[in-house]
Amino acid sequence: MYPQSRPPQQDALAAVILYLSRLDHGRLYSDDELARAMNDCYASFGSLDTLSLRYGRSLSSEGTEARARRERRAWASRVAADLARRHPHARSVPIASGTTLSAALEAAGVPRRARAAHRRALLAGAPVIALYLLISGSANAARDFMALPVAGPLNVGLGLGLLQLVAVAAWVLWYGRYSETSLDPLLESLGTSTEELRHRS
Amino acid sequence: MTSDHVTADLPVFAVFLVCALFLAVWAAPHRGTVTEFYVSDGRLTPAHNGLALFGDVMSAAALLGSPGLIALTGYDGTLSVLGPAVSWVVVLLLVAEPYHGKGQFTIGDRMARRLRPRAVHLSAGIATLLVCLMYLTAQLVGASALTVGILGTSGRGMEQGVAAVLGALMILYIVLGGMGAATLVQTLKAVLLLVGGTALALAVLSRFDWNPGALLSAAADHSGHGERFLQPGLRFGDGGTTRLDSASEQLALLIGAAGLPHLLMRINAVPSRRDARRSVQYAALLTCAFYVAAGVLGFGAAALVGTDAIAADNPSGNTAVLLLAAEIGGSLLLSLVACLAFATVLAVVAGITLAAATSLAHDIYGAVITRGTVSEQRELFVTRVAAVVVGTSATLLAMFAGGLNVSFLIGLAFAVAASAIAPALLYSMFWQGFTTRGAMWSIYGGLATSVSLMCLSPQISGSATAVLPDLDFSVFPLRNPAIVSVPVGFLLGWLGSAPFRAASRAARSEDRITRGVSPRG
Repeated sequence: MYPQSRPPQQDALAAVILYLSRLDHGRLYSDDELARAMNDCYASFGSLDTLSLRYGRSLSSEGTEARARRERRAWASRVAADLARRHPHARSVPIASGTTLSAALEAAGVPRRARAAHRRALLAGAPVIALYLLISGSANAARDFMALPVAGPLNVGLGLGLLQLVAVAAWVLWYGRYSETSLDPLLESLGTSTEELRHRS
Repeated sequence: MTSDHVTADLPVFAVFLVCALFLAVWAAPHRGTVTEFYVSDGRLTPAHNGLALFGDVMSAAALLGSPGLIALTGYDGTLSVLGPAVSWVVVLLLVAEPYHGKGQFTIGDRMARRLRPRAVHLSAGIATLLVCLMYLTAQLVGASALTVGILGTSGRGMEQGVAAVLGALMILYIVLGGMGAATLVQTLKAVLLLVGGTALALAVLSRFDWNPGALLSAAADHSGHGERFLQPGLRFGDGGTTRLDSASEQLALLIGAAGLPHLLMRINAVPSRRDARRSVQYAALLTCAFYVAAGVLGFGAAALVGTDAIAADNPSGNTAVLLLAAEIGGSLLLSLVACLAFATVLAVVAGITLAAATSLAHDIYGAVITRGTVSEQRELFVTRVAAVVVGTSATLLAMFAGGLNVSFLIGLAFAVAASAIAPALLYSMFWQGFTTRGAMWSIYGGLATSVSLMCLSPQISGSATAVLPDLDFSVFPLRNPAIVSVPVGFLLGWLGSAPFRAASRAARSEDRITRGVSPRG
């Protein structure tokens, strides 16, 4: 497979960090300089999933600098392969060992977190549906309870009905925001979708 | 209602239709590709698509039926608006994002991503066509029944004419404009529906000094039931059968929304999964907001018109909103609301015709008969022919069935969608062990179960309100088969897949190995 068409997650972690570091891909560096820059870059991102997210977006973004980005990716992969060959057991630069980004994500538990986030969204929807089942069930079974007055002519039954509509609207708004801020970035960093995630598990 | 409304109504309605038709021509596809015709190239914005999706769900039943039911049965009627609102949660969680795919138009396309294409295209196409035809016929019959409601006794005899005109217009829209025209009509109607519904609800509230409590009290007073109007029990009564019946109906509404072809088709009219999710979000929020207004309209009709007067005008309460409009704003407002109702029906049937025509041309003709070798131009032509065929048969059915009580068709359409389409679709998206055999069993089994149980139900024979009141072969006691047929659909899907799973997995890995070795990849 050509490196350009390879999914970003298949690249070596060291190459990803080199790509995102402040190093200039037109110059030569000593191992010390490389290690320092890579450590700085890695520390500045904090977590692997933001790193992967940024890498994927940078590679897939359209623009005039596509050629420069291709060159930088090739350079990063070359340097990373060289580092891995010369320091197969490098301890001072743990990121220089030859793991791929997806293996590193797996090891850091990102797929597990994405599955948990998706499960949380499903669980949050359950009470809304449960409320509906409760309302339609107790309309038949617990009539006296549904007829209890709440405020003026409003009784428990009508109040619950109104609450149901509000709950659906609130859940829909919450789910949208939750997906945008929590679920989507995790999935995008993995380069996958919820169903593939579930199929793999 | 008297016949002088005819003179007020008809010109307004005619002008509206002519305008809408010009819009359809203006929105007609220009490049002549199937993607453009089926899903507008998937280029709609989420807000626009969400508005149209909201319009697709809001049939005449939502504008007239739900408030009417509330006006007649009070609390029990309000349950009818909760189901459709909650079903959006199901669609958003399980369907919206995984269903989206570029270059996919039908349910068969989605299932064919992982299953044997020809078999699933055929079965999904048959189920889609059946659901669409039943839904279309019921909507057209409902619209022609509405004519009598609006025009009074002078409207009799015009029923068939109205069904024919609506049918001809919907065919014309789809043949000329495809998804672009359907979206345009749907958007127009959704905006009118929101504006009209809200304005009418505000007008009702202003009659009660903006005090919802006073509205409820007045509704209870004028309903003839007193306090019991606001409590459960008026519609469903006692007894285990009615309880099961209402549970069955709610199950069909909840799951069926995830299998309605014209809703699913809209999911692919946006560029990405994220946009599909956003469309459904917009549609769900609009639905919740509109149903609050529908509740106000229902209780307002009971309070201002009176339940007895509504029941006297139409036993099923479908004219409650029209009577309310006449009470508040006289014949002008009545004409406007009547036009809104016709626009609602027209937009919904146009969307369904498009889904049915797409399925007939793309699934049955494209994937099954020609095995995917058909050219784009030819498929487009076949789609237009299919729109004429489907539209004409639904219109003829509606004209023929005008005298029969076909209210069961909507329930049956939802039941078939819930027990034949939804299980196979959900399995194919979320269960890797699902096989083509499971899909066949689930689709055909769910279809056969729901249709045959409906034939044996009191909706068809053996009761005063049945289609064939003189005969009695109603063995199955419930009016909606969903509570039996939905579990049957899911069970058959599992039974058809799980026992054969190991064998098919071995075959698949073998398949993968040979493909990996072969030079063509």
